[in-house]
Amino acid sequence: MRRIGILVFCVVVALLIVIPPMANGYYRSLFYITLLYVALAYGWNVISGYAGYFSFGQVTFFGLGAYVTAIVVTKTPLPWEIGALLGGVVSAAFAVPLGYLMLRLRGPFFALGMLGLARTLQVAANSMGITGGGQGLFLPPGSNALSVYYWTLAIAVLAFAGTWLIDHSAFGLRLQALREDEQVAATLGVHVTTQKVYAFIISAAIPGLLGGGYAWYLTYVNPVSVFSTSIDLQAVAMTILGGIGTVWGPLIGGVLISQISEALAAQYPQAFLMIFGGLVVALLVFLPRGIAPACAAALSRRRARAKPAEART
Amino acid sequence: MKQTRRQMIGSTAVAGAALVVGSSFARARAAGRPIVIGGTISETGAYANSAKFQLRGYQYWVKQQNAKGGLLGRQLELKTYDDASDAANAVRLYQRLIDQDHVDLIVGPYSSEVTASVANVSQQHKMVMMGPGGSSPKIYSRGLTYIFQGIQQSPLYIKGPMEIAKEHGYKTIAVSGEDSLFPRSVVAGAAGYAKEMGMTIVFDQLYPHNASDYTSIAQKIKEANPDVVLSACYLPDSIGLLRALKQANFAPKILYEGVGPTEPNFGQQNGKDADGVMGTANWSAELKTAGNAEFVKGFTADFGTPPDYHAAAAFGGLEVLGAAITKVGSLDQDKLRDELSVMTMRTIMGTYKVDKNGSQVGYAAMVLQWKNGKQFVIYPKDEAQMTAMVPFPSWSTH
Repeated sequence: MRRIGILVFCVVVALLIVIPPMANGYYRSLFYITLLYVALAYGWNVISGYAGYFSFGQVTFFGLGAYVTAIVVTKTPLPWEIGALLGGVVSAAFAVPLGYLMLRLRGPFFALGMLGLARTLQVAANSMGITGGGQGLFLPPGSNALSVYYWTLAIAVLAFAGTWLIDHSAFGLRLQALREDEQVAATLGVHVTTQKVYAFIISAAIPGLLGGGYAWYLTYVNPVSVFSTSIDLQAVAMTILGGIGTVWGPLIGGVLISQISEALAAQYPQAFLMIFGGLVVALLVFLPRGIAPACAAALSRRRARAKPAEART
Repeated sequence: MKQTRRQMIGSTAVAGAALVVGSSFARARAAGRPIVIGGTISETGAYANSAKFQLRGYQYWVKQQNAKGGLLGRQLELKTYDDASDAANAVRLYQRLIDQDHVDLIVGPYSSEVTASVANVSQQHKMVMMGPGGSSPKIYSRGLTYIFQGIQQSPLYIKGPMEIAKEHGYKTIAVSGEDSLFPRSVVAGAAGYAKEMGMTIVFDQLYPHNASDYTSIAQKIKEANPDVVLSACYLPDSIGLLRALKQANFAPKILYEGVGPTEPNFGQQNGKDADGVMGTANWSAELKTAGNAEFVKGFTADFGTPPDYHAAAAFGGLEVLGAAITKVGSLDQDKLRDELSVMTMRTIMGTYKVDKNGSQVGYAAMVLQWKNGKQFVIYPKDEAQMTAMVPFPSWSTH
């Protein structure tokens, strides 16, 4: 069964590598945005799903990555990929002191603290000279978005594989232990602060790496667009619908939500929001743990043998 | 199990192949079918209010043109999507319009921010795009060759008040305004104009977005004692700054406050104090440009509300595009680009003309001035409704 899984995974990745250069610009963009949100959802899933620290501000690192890249591209002759890589490094480095500081807060206080942090960086970008202030930064128009697509595909694949590794590792178990009860985990010998900060660094590096591609794709960044709360909210909704704290959740939720939005949103802007809202409510009522755990449970019932690999909560 | 796997791989491959085949269909069209014009409009989100007028401007032109027989003997059809005021959505939807829906022409979205990102799509697909929603000149100065500005360039706004100042022999200027994309672009060229006209900038400081207190900036301007104050304001800060200057009892010879004074509210809020204040208007219903009166009348009858400048710019942009198509005699995008680069044409917005970047240099940024509770156009001279009231009256004589 596992070998089949790996084979399917490899085939899908191979198709995602081979198809886009032949597909038209629209499909390339659609694939890109889908992978972007899938990867963002995986990033959020580590700190909020596995460690249980609900964040509404991971977009802070996405914006940071976008600005680092925009500055690198406009002020130096280096290619955007270097900027994006640097954006990931800066985000991860920034997450270390920030993690020690912010992860003292719990529950709604952490969520609100992170929301405030994103606003703080937005204001900073609005008032500094190097970020162009409220005017933002204009990047040179790119010839095509294929490089951004591959960059994002690579990060999405790494984020998926990384999540699988976390899910099957002692580190993952420690995160889940502290999610369930931090004090008990500490008593059992889990160094909770260090584990949380590790998770936070991973959840910062992923959006940090993705922000640069977004800046290059849009050829323009400003404080409003790259620190937008709606980017966070979409990643959160995708993870929760797909299955929070699972390996498959962000992928299922991300692909499903972006495809539904794309099919309906552009043509029926008002009706779409109603349908979408109804769908979210229905899913949460009937599948409170998300799609992935529900599928896993159904599968294991069918096989009539307990193998709750993906359904662990 | 093996069977299922094979089926799964098979169907994925088929789906992939379908994508590839679908994308390689030629853009062949029969001559009798309508010409489809595509674009995105921010029907929801932050820009929804102004963008709605832009959409109506497009719709009204298409309706008018169809009544006249369309273009090249074909009827016209407008196809729009909602980009929800988001640049990433707009980029993808323009690609959808071009690659999937195979529209024949594209028109610009609303706002400088969204236009900046979509301009790259127009370039990649080599399709001309008239941008009535992008006033920031930075969009056009990046080596893009298929985008044309269908609205006044914001740095031209201050040219009028500076020319009036020059006529009166004023020498010193204070520059201020809100620190965000649009106001910054309005005052960006002040130093260049000042040098050209032999004036000196004695004060140059912006204030933050959503400022609530203007006393300190007014005091600093008073200390610099300039002849002319040029401040790029929206409505709230234009009122705040005016009151603070009055409180500081400082009356410059010319007081210009960006787009704030365009709004009727400016006069209602300030009463007699508004008299003498100058501002910029991109378009007005009273303007005696070609076809303007008919546009205002017809638009109002159709939509039950008078047009604003967003609607006028959208309509004017399509007037130009339509004329270019008629002149070229086809929808050949490269020929259209060449034509749009060199043509001049009288529209409801003024005379269309662009520079080598595609930035608008023809549409005049009109200067208006308040007098006895009303706005009058004072610049350019051929559109002027009265001569400029200079100097600005002292506060005791207001």
